[in-house]
Amino acid sequence: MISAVEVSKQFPASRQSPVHALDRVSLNVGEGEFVCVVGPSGCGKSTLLQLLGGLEAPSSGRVARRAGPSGIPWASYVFQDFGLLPWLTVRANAAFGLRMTGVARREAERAASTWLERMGLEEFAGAYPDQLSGGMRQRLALARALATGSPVLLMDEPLGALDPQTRRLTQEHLLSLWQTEHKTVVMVTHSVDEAILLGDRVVVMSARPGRVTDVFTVPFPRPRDPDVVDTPEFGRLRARVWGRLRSQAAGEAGASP
Amino acid sequence: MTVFAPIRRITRLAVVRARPGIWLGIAVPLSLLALWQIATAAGAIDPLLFPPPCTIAAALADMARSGELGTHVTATLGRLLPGYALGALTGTLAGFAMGVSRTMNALFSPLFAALYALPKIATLPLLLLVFGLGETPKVLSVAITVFFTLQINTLAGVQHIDPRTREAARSYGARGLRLLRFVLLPGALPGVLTGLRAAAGLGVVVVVAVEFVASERGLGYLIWNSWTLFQPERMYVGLTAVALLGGLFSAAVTLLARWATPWRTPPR
Ligand SMILES: Nc1ncnc2c1ncn2[C@@H]1O[C@H](COP(=O)(O)OP(=O)(O)OP(=O)(O)O)[C@@H](O)[C@H]1O
Ligand SMILES: [Mg+2]
Repeated sequence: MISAVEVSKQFPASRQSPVHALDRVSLNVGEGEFVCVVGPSGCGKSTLLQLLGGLEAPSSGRVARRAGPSGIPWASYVFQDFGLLPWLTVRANAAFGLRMTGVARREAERAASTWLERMGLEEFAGAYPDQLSGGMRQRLALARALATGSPVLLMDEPLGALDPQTRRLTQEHLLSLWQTEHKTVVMVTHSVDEAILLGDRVVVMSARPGRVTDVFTVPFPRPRDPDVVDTPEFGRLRARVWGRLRSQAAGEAGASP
Repeated sequence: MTVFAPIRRITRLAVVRARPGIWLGIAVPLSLLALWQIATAAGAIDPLLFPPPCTIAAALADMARSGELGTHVTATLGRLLPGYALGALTGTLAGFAMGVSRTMNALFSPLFAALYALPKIATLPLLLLVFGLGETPKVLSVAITVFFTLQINTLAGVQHIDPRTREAARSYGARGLRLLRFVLLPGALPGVLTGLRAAAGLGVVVVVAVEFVASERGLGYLIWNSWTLFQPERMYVGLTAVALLGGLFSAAVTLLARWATPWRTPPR
């Protein structure tokens, strides 16, 4: 569905040498696959996501995207800070992606309301994002992304701002959502557990300039039971991923589990 | 999704609280007025300079009944409102254009920055010179002050839109007119409203100042003229009317602001 071939990205720094964010990253994401990306802070994970989605152009290399259905945006995004529009109601935020593709208000809001219901937000349709809790905002960001019907979902630490309980519940929710929706997903996360629980593959990146150092295939079958995290196999995989991540993050401050 | 039922209960919907302090806030000026009244009656202060509140109230009622007060209020509003509307419209447009277009900003920001330091009321003699003694220079005086206030606040409003919000909107394909309608205009609105509120106060200041020196009617004229003729009651009537007018005008703009930005809880 997406294939990045040897993509590099440099940002022209205001002073001194340019920032080399990504170094010859290659990544293939199959249709309907859930890929999680972990790596030390500042290694270019967000940049990679932007390149995959076409929001930024690579400095060198190539990103190929298989076209999805016409009239629907190819990819939808969920950001760590949610990126909601504070002046739009919950209802209008959920419909925002559709409105941007030219769908009329009434129709867009009707389509979005289905997703508000599935996210347990229908009671708050008339409220504003600032009146919601963190977990609700995150679900709203998810509703907005899913309402567009895009075949590809690009998520940048979507659960990073949530408290542990909400995060855990949302992971389970995502697991069951993916089971029914079969989106192609690339998700950046700081949590190894989250990556293994949700992903079909876990991609480990090196410290800046970001390279792909390892790709782990997650062996647990779908539909996946959230309790899989308590099995010994999960523990062994977690230890392997951590081992690689730790060697990358040595020298690099602040990568959290 | 039943999974989220417990979370839903912990929602923090903002609660609008009534302010119990409001009565205390009214009590202070009322006590001061009472004190003033008592002090004049007791001969502690000179009633020629500070006529007691009851005398002022009587003068106000007289002037209201004779229609004289109405004439002055109408004259002042006739300058304030058109000037305010003209300045607000052009100032908002200018600030917005400078906020969204780098070229416009580069072209105009040095000029506006230089002019900003100039007290706009100082241009009144120039306006009188160019436009004569009619209503035009008075309306324009108000408009110029309001223009600069709105220009600077609208520009700040556009520039303060969260870049992450813009980035998120862009990732969903917001461009051109849609970006304008869904992101730039509502995002700049709080800045515009801050400007409108500040301009409401400044507009009243300017219109009164203009009427001091170049007018035969209006509340500013009433105040100034009462001084030259030594009629303190009439002066206080003018002051009271200006205060009420300014207060009502600001309150109206504040109400407009609350209505126009319902997402801002609680409005500051
Ligand atoms: N628009 C930009 N201009 C200049 N430098 C940038 C830009 N975007 C990112 N960078 C730089 O590129 C590097 C990688 O940034 P990126 O945001 O992709 O990292 P990340 O892996 O997502 O980090 P984190 O885990 O903290 O979110 C950083 O050093 C950052 O400073
Ligand atoms: Mg990032």
